[in-house]
Amino acid sequence: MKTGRSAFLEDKRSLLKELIHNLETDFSYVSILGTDVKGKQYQVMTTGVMINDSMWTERGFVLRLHDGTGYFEFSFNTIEEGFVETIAEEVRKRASLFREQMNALGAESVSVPILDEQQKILNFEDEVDVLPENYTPGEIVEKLTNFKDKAHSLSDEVFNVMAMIETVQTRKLFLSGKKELSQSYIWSQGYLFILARRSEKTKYALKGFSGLKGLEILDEMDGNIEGLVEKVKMLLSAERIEPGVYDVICSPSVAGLIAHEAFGHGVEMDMFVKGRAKAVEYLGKQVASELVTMHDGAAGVREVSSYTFDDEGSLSTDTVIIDKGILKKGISDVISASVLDTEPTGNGKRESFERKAYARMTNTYFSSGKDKLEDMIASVDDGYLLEDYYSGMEDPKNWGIQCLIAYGKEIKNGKFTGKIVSPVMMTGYVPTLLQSISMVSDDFELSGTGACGKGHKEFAKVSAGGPYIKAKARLG
Amino acid sequence: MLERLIKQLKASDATGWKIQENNVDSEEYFFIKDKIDLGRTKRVQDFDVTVYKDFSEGDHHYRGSSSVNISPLLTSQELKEAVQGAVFAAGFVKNPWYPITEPYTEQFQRKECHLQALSKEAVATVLKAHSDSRAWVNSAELFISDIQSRILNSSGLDVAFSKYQTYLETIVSASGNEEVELYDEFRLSVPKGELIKKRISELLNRVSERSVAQATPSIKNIPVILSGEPAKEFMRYYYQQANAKMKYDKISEAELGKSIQGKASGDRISIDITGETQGSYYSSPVDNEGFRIRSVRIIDNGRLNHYWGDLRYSHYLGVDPTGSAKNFKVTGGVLTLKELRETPHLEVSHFSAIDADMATGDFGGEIRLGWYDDGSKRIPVSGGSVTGNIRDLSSIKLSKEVQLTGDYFGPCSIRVEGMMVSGE
Repeated sequence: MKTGRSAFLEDKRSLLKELIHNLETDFSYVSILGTDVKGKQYQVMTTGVMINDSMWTERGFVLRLHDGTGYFEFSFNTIEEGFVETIAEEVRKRASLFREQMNALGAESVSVPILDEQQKILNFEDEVDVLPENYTPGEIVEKLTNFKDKAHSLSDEVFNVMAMIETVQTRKLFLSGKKELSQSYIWSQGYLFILARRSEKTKYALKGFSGLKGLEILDEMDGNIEGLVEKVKMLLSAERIEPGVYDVICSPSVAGLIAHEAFGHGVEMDMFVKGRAKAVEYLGKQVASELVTMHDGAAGVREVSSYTFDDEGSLSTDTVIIDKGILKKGISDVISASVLDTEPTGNGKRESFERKAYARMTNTYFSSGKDKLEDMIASVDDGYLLEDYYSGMEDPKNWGIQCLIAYGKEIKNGKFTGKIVSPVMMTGYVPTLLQSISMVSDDFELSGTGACGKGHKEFAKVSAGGPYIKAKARLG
Repeated sequence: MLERLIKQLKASDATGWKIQENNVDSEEYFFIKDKIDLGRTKRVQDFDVTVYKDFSEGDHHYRGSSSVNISPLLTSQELKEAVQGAVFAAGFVKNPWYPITEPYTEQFQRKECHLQALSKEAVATVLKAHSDSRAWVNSAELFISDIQSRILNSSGLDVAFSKYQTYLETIVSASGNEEVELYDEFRLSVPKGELIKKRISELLNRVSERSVAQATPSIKNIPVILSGEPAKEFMRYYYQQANAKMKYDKISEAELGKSIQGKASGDRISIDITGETQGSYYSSPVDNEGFRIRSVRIIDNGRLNHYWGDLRYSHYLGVDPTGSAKNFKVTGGVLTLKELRETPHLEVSHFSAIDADMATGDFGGEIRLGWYDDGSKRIPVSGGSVTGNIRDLSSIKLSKEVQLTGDYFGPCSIRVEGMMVSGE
C-alpha cells in the first residue's frame, strides 16, 4: 500500500519556490528542506500503557544559503501573512548579523565552494504491507498486552515486561534552483524487553524489530516471547568474564555494531575536513583481513535508513568502504564533499529540520562470506560467541573501540560449555580487531532499532549488521 | 495557535488536558580550529499536548492519556483530527487514576542578561583558545538558546518561565606519541566566557597528558578513582534508585529508611533534588506538568529518605510529590582529592562512553584518559576498560571538593573498590 504524499508540503511547494527565487537575488545558492513526519509510539508495560507521538514527529523548514563566503542556515516552523517577504527579510537580517559578528571578531571562514548541482526532478512514494491507520489504537494495545501477559505466564522471575512499537511516516520536500525532490516512506521498529530478578540479581533481555515497514512488524514480533524469557533466565545465571584476549564469534548484530562504531564513524568525511579521522592516512591501504568487505548506503538494502535523497538533496548511493580489506572511500555530506572536492554520497542527514546536516551513516554492514556458523564454533579452542549489545562508542581519531555486549557463550574445544558471561565490554584497536577476522559466515541480518548519535547528540536512524565473524578481541 | 488549540480541547471529549508551549530562539556556531565553518539560527515554536480520559471498570478508576506534538503549521482540520485522535487513543490507555497539577498562576522571573553580548564573548573565547603549539582545539560547536515556556492545564494552571541554555561541544587534539583527541560536552545556562575559558584550558591540559599516555596495564584489585563526568554518572545510579517511577516499575528495590549502598564501606551518600541550581543548563522552577519542584533530601547518610517524582508516580506510591527534579546535589566527602590519591589507584577522567545501567547496576567504559599510580609514580594511561557492578562495591569514598557539571553538583572524584580493570 502506498505510504501517501504530504498534502501540507504539496500545498506549500509553490510558496517555497517563490521564497527561493526571492533569496536568489542576494545569495549565490539557496535551498530549502521541508519536513512532514508523523509518528506514533505504543508501549505496554506491566506497570502502565502509553500512546504518544513519536519523538521523530516534526513539521518545519530549514533554509540554506551561501553568501559568497560560506553557508548559513535558518530553521523555522511558522508561516505568517506575507510569508515570502517576511521570511526572506528575516533570514537576510540573520545572515547579515552573523557575518558582521564574525567579521567584528576577526574570525576567518572555512572556504566552502558551492557544489555544482545537477538538474533533477524526483517524486518517490514507497509501499508497505500494513499502513499505521489500518489498526485502531485498541487493537495495537491488545496485541502488545498479549506479548506482556505471555512473558509473565512463563516465569515468576519476570517482574516487568515492555512491548513497544513505533511507526513513522516520513515525507520530505527538497527544493533548490536546480532540484525539486519529494519522497514518502514509512519505517517502523518494535521492542520486546523482559526484566527478571533472582535474589538480588536483575537482568534483562531484549529483541528489536525494524524495517521500511508498517504495522506488519507486529506479526514479526509474535512468537519471540518464549525465547526471550529463556534468554533472561540464562542471563540470571551469568558470571563476570575474566578480562583477557579471546577468540570471539560475533553475531550479526555485534558484527554490525563493530562495522558502525569501528569504521563507520571514522569514515564520515566531515571528520576528514576537521582532521579528526585516522582513516585518511589509510585510504587505499589494508585495514582489515581480506575477508572483509564493508558497505554503507541508503540505496542497496531496505532498512530504516533507506531513502531516495538525503536532507541536503543528494541522491542515495551504496558506498563500498572496505573492499577485501582495502579502505576505499568515505561517506559525505555536501559541505564536506565541497571542501574535499569529492562527490557527495547521499549521507547528509539531520536529526530534524531544527538541526544541522552532518555526514552520517545510513545502513552499514559487512558483506557475507562463505563459512558456516557451526564450522566457526568448532574452530574455537577457548573463546566466546558474543550476542546482542547494549551500546557502542566511536573514536575516529585514535581508532579505539568500545562495545558493550549483552552476553557471551563460552566455547572450549569447539563446543559450548554452557557457561554464560554478562555483560562483556569489548575494547581494542580497530585495525587489530579487523585484521584478526579469520572467518565470515554466509548469513546476513540487518537491524535498525534505536538511534545513532554524533558524539553524544544529533540522533539519527541507522541500521547495521552483516554475517557472523570470527576475530580476536580484548574482553573485560 | 494557542487559542485555537484550547478551543479544540474544550470542544473534545477529553476529561482534562495539559499544554506546554515552547518558543525557542537560538544561535549556533560551528568552528574548525580558529575558523567558522557554518552559522545557523533557529526560531521555532511547539506545543506538547496531553489529553486525559477518565473511565471506570467496577470499582477501579482509570485515567488514560495520550500526548501529541502540535506544530504551529497544522491546519485547523489537522489540529481537530490530532486532538480527536489523541482523545480516542487515551480511551485505550488503562492506567490507574492520578491527579494533575492543582491550579495556580505564576510568571517566574529569570535574571535577564544581554545574551548578544555574552554570545559574542563566548564565540571570542572559543576562537582565541588556540595558542598552545602542543595542544589545540580541533573543532567546536556552540549552541546558545533563549527558551520561553508556558504550561496550562484544564484545571486552571497557568505558569510561564524562561531560561537560557548553552551547549558547547569541544574536540581538543595534541601531538605526542601520536596525535590524540578528547571529546567534551559542557552544558551551562548563560554562556559565560570565563567558565568556557577554564573548561577548554583544563581540556587542553588533559589532552596533552593523553598524548604521552601509556597503555593501561592489567591490574588486579586496585581502587579506581572516577573523576569529572564519570563521577556524575556513577552518582546518577543512586539518584535514579530513589525515583518514584523506577520504584513503581519495580526496577528500583530501594526501600524507605534502608541502605541504598549495599555492603560498601566508606562515606555514606546524601543526595538532594532541586529544580534550580545556579548556572545549571537544566534549571527550571517547574516540571513538565507545571508542578513547582521542591528541594528535598532524597538520600540521607546512605539511606533512602524520600522517593522523588512527578504527581502520577508519587500518587501511585502514596508519597508526597516532589515534582520531577531537574538537578541533583550530592554532599561532598571528608577526604580531599589529594588524600584519596595517597595510596595506589587507577584514576579515570575520560571514558569513550560511560555505561551505567540503572536496572542492573552494571558500570563500565573504555578508558580514554586515566592515571595509574603505583604508590611511587603517577603516569597517564589510555586503553583497556573499567567494569563492575555498583551493587557489588566494597568501598565508596567521596572527595571533599565539589563540581557543577550538567545536572549534577557534587564530589569531583569518587574512589571505589570492587571494579575490574582490563589492560595489556
